[in-house]
Amino acid sequence: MTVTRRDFMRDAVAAATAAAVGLPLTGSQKALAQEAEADWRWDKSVCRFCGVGCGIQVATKDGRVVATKGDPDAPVNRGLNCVKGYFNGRIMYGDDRLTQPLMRMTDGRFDKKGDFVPVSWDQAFDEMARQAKKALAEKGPHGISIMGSGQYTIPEGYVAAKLMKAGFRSNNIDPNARHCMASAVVAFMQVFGIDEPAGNYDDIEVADSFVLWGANMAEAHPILWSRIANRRISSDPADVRIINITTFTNMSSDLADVEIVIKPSTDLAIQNYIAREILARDAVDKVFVERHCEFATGPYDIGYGMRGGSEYAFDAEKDVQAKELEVTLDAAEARAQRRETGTVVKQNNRASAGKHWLIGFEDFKKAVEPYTLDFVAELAKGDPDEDLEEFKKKLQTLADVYIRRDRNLISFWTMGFNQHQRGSWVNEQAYMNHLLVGKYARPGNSAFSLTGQPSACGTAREVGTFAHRLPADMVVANPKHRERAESIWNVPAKTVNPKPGSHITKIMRDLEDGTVKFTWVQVNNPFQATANANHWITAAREMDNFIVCSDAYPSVSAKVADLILPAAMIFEKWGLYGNAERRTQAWREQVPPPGEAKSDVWQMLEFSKRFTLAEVWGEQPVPGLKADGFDDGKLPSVLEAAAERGYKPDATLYEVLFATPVNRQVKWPDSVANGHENHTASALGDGWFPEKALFNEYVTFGKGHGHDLADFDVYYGDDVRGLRWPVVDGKETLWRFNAKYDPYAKAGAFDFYGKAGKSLPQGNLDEVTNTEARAIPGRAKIFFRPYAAPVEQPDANYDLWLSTGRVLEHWHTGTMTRRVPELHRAVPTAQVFVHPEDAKTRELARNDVVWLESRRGKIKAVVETRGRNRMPRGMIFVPFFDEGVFINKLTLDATCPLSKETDFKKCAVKMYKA
Amino acid sequence: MSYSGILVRAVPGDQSALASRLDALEGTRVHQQDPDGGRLVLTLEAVTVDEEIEGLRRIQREPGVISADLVYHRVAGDPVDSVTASAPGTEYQDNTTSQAAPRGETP
Repeated sequence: MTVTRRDFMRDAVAAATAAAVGLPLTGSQKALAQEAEADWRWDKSVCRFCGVGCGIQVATKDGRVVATKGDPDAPVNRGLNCVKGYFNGRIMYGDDRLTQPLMRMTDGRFDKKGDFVPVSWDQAFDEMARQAKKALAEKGPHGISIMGSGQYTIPEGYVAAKLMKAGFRSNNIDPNARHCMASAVVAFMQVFGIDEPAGNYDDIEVADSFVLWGANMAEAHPILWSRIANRRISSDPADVRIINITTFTNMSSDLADVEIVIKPSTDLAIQNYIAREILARDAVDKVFVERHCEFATGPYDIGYGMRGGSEYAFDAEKDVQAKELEVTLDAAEARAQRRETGTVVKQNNRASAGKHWLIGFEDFKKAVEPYTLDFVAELAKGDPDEDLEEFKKKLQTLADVYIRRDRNLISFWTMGFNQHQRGSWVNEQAYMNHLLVGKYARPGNSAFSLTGQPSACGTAREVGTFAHRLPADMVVANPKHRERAESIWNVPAKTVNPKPGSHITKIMRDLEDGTVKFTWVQVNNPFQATANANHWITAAREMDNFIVCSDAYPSVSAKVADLILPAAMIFEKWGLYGNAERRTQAWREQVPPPGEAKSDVWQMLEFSKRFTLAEVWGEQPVPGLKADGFDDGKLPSVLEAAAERGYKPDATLYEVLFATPVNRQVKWPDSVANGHENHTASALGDGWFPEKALFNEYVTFGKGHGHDLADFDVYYGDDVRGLRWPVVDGKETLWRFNAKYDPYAKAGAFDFYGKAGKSLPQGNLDEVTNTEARAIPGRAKIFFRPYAAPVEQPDANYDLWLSTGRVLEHWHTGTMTRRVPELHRAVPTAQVFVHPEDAKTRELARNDVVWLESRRGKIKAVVETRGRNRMPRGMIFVPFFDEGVFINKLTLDATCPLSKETDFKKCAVKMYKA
Repeated sequence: MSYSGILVRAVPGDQSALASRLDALEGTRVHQQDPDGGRLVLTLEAVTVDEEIEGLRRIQREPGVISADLVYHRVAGDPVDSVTASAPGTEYQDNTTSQAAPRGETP
């Protein structure tokens, strides 16, 4: 019987697999597949994990997911899934799934020192509202915060942003996506004036050269990697070249033609070497550059995004923190910045790191002149055992793939670039070289920041769940943008706070300083994922504050919270995600959430019912606020203006912001549901369809502004597998800025029409010499950015570089992929990858337990000298998925000063036997 | 028991020898071959996600395999499949023996 059933299952699964990838099936195979799937309901959806955005199909039966498959019609993955596909059907069913609200209590009352006790939703929301009101009364709108996510669905992010910015008049909302792609965003905005890439994944099949800059695609983006592998294998090897630039040998090196192992931060110097070569070999695409580009630069003395000192600093970290204010240039840095070695540079532009000005081509040429092959090779060679001449040859090969006119080129990058103390600079340098040779915004020519989360683009960036942003690339500091948001939101002028809030790492610092007293963690695990974690865990547990965490599982963040709210997971709610190539994709609720778990949308809407306008729209203190039309340090009362709009003071934020008369016209049930439930709408019980109503409201921000999305129902069409925005007249846009493909590109063959930063003063390499602004409409900027040394480097005491990152089998902090205990055996605990020689000199062997110690903390890990990551001497790597090997207790919370994205890739540690 | 369907792309040439080797791997069976396109359809039978991932990796490591990707995953509802995680509880315990989180020099 068992054997028969097994055979039946296998044959049926084989038939379904063959069908999904387009292999021919016999009649009996078809019948078998159908029989095995009797009573199942299939529906399209999206993978829960990385930013690639693979389409999947989900089968359900009796309220449970029974199968998943790669969607054969999805252009991203064409029926395939990577190993993380094994989790989609299982992540909801861990035994420790949170199913009821839990609050720290003693004797029936909230107590920060109490134990977690199950409470009702009403009790939970009542205490939350009480605590939030207390924080608002004491500190004003910036006394509360939300730590959001690149895994928010679009409606979730929109509700969170609107609740904070229009409701509480607080910009203290920032996502974990800050840790993931904020540097990419700054570069997009500074270079093109508009966020997100010109190209898309279709470029892969028509590219000849692929350069990976700090992107281990084989582990982090396997489906795109297999598309590259296909391109490589199905072509003559001489025609397609892959170059892997990395700080250690990783799985992507297996397929690469050339591997270039570099020292941390020297990518900045290599980019400038390539630029120098392009100039020296007269390879500039002069027509493209003259017609479509300008040259620009900015200040170098911008700090490292650390605190410039703190009463809470550990003694050991004070020496590095001091460099935030003053740095002595080493020899390489001095040469790269045309200064004298040993020059002491006060970091005067810490608060104005993003300012920049136009320069001339001759200035640019002078700036890249020091970056000779000899200088850069000596500085950048990352494997002490590699021959210098061999390394030089590799750099020349690298320059060749940029320079040869007959080769299409894609540069891909991920966290090696973005999590970088000069992450915005190095992103800008990538565009620098692509623009110099005219290899951008054309099919097969792309410079592309891959994203790590499923909706870092679609939600965090496009909706604008950042401390400084509004939807559709608008920012709170711009009065016209605030006005437009206030108009769409139908709220009074000056409701939106002009002062940007705290970025996610700063929210942690604010908790430590006691300036933020209430925070709500949504769809992420920041207490495990933020660098220098010992500080923030102590702040959460020891300071007078209230921490709410909505989660599906007891993550580190849930455990350090005061109140845990059980959240619905992806297939238990309606949602849309936007992937890295601007593709917006949608799914329906497939199964009900367990127990009392509810969607984040429902949680926020219920919470919003507990606040009246009178409580939040009166005059509010905002320390540090300084803006035209506002009194210093405060927001005016808008209650009178609200009354003029017909809002009564006792109206709730729910009525004014969400269940508006317009939105209530979008009724639930709705035919787009096609028989699927919506627990959010049902639990609200007032007859509207929040996800659809709020998505369509959000769409109005981007229409006609270069961010056009289609209406909600379009994405649910049977024949739609997502659409790449801008969607104009029902058509998606494949290559932006290129007049052949992009309806917004109107001025010439290429039109970099983004509006941000398009009027600038002029100067030389060091300073502004003419403050009169020059307009540069339609042009992209080619930035010169210098090499800058990492702020913390190995020394006699902390003698090793530490880098952190992902492994294939786990995703982020493992909250979802570590629920299944057997999985722990595949990667039992996070290992520390070590060069055999570094192990030997410390008298360590493979599988030994060691202490890893930095200025900020110490943890234990198990030594691995072989395996998938092979380190050069002097560097170790530890993945961050494992809360038992809590590597972020060691990492440094230095950020790119422009993007505020943390550099998780480089700090100094020591290692010794435990 | 869970079943997954995997698509293998093979180096042109020795496909039947490769098929025999894949068929011999633990939990793996070759069902269908597409000799012209160099593609094979395999199933993998496993109880845990760990075994599934290891099974897929075994296939990927086999010489002659260009790529092996998951296509179809059936999480059957048999009792043996229920996930048996040991609930770690919700109390935050510092099991990494960090330094005792000093608060810096108190002012």
